[in-house]
Amino acid sequence: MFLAFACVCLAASSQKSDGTFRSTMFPADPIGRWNVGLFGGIDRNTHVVDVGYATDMKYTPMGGATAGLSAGYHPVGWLTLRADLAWVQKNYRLDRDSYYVSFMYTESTNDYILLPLAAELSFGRTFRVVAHVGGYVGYWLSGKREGQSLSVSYLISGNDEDTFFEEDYAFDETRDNRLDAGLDFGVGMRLAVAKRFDVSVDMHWYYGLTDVQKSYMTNLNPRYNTTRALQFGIAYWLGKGNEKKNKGE
Amino acid sequence: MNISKVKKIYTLLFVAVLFAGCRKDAVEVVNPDRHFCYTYVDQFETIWTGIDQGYLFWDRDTVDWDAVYERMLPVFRQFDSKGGATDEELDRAYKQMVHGLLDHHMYVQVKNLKTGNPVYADPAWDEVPYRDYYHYTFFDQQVALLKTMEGVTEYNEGNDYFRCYSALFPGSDGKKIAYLRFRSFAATSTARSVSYGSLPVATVGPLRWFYGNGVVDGVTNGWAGRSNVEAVIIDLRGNGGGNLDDIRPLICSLTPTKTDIGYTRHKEGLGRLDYSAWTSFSIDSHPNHLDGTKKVVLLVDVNSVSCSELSACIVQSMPHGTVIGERTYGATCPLIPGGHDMLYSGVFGDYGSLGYYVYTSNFDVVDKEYKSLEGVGVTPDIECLFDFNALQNGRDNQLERALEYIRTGK
Repeated sequence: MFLAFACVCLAASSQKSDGTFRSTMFPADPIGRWNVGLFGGIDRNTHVVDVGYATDMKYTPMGGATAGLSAGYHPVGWLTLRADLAWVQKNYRLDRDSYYVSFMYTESTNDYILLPLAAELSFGRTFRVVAHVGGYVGYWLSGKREGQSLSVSYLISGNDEDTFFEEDYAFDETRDNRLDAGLDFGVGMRLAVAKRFDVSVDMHWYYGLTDVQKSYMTNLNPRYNTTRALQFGIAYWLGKGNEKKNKGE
Repeated sequence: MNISKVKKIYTLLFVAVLFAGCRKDAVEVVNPDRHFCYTYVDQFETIWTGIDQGYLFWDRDTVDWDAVYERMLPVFRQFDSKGGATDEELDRAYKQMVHGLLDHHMYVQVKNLKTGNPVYADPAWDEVPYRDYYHYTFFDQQVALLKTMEGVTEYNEGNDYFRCYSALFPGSDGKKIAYLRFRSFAATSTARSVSYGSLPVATVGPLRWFYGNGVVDGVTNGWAGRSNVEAVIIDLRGNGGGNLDDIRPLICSLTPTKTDIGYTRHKEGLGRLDYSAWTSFSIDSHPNHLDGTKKVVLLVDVNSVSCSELSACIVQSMPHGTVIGERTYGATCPLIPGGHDMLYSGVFGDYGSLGYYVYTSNFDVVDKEYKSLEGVGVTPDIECLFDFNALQNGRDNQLERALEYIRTGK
């Protein structure tokens, strides 16, 4: 998908109307300029937890969505300092695979607001392949849980109607660590589709370094989120290029 | 790309990889349900861990469990270092360990490694006997009075396999009141044993008199459903609870409608505060049920425990239901045998093979306002405290109050 998008963009935008190709698709004068943009995409989150002896508890990744605003500053041609404001879903599913409770599952949908800051390194001239490394801080905004559970109603009457649930996640101040921080790294591509517009595709790895739980008990196994996001974006170049600086680059 | 640019890139990547290793390591914990213990410290730590990870009420219990560990570990170390403990010392140590825990189902049973004797610790026993209305159960004395009470007919009693009693009392306007009392929630299993021929039919005589021939089929052709019976009394005083299977045929069959009680949840992980979502706690009526016009009265006292208390919650939710008596024991959150394998909470250990056993709840139950009754008990609609002097004079004041309520409506 990533490659297909890149090829389509490349083919669509690199050919002029007269059939010849543009010689420069990335702004020729990025130094000292800002760009701002929007992005959206999909993600897939893995909830990393050691379940200990509760071996029938299986956490599996779940898909989600992401969207946000981005801003980049180019101090030199090959480097962009990038800051995003991203809404990222970090969803996961818990299944049980022991015989008596195999019907039980919980799908957790969690909304985070993240502020990633990254150094983005560019490779190439006419078509830019980028890699970024940085970190993020964030906040766990809200959550929902839905699924099927074991209920006393079911044990008493055999009616499974009450085993289904769907609820807004109620945060517990003692348990939940709503502050989130971690690494943000990934790769992407940039392509100019008009004089001031770029389209982009980026793969982000949000590698959480903060436990989603507070350290409220002694023998607590930590829980982390690792989120991979595929983001499609469009950016607008502000200001005019500095020809003098760009020549040096 | 020049050399310094490459160096910068490598430096950034190195820093990223360095940070990526900053996640905390997982903690190794033993499964408290299956751990062989060879020392007093081992026993203590296994039980402490089992309660730490599987106890249902850490979101509201006031006991500082980490402080308990710090305080009690030296005591058990001392037992090991001096070569053993007396039963009294071990008993005292475990009572101190679980003192104040909310779970009124809980008891801890541990084998003394030196003497081979069991010791018990039951945190509810630090609370219930100190209630100002607490009394021992007088089950035998009260049922002995039944057949002597005014106007009683149709008196039936079961046998020692299943302690159960039924009778018919005069009601208002020439109608009758059907009465049933049983000592434990074991009716369904007992009825099955009777149907297999392993117990005499007389064992379930009072049950069949009250519900009909099926017993587990709800109210069929028993006295409870007859048109000349205006009300039923289920007497659960001194009833220590039992099997949840009994709830629907014995209690829910007394109303034609589904009963909404509140919500339940269980543990969902090894963290103290890892809980499942709340799910509705409602019970369908039994297909064979009363028609909803009869009054349903449940008698309870401080010795009504577990299923008896759930029954009280259910009857309080019935349109024609009334609970009379005393605030109950406070073990309102049920458990299921073998639940630890399913829910990683509740009963764990095995006294015979492992030398320890902990009995504890694994389903949290709250009412429709999310209020928990664990450790508190069900407060009756009409309070009527046990009167020991009345009993000595041959009167059962609580049963008399229930009859008065049915006859007068007050």
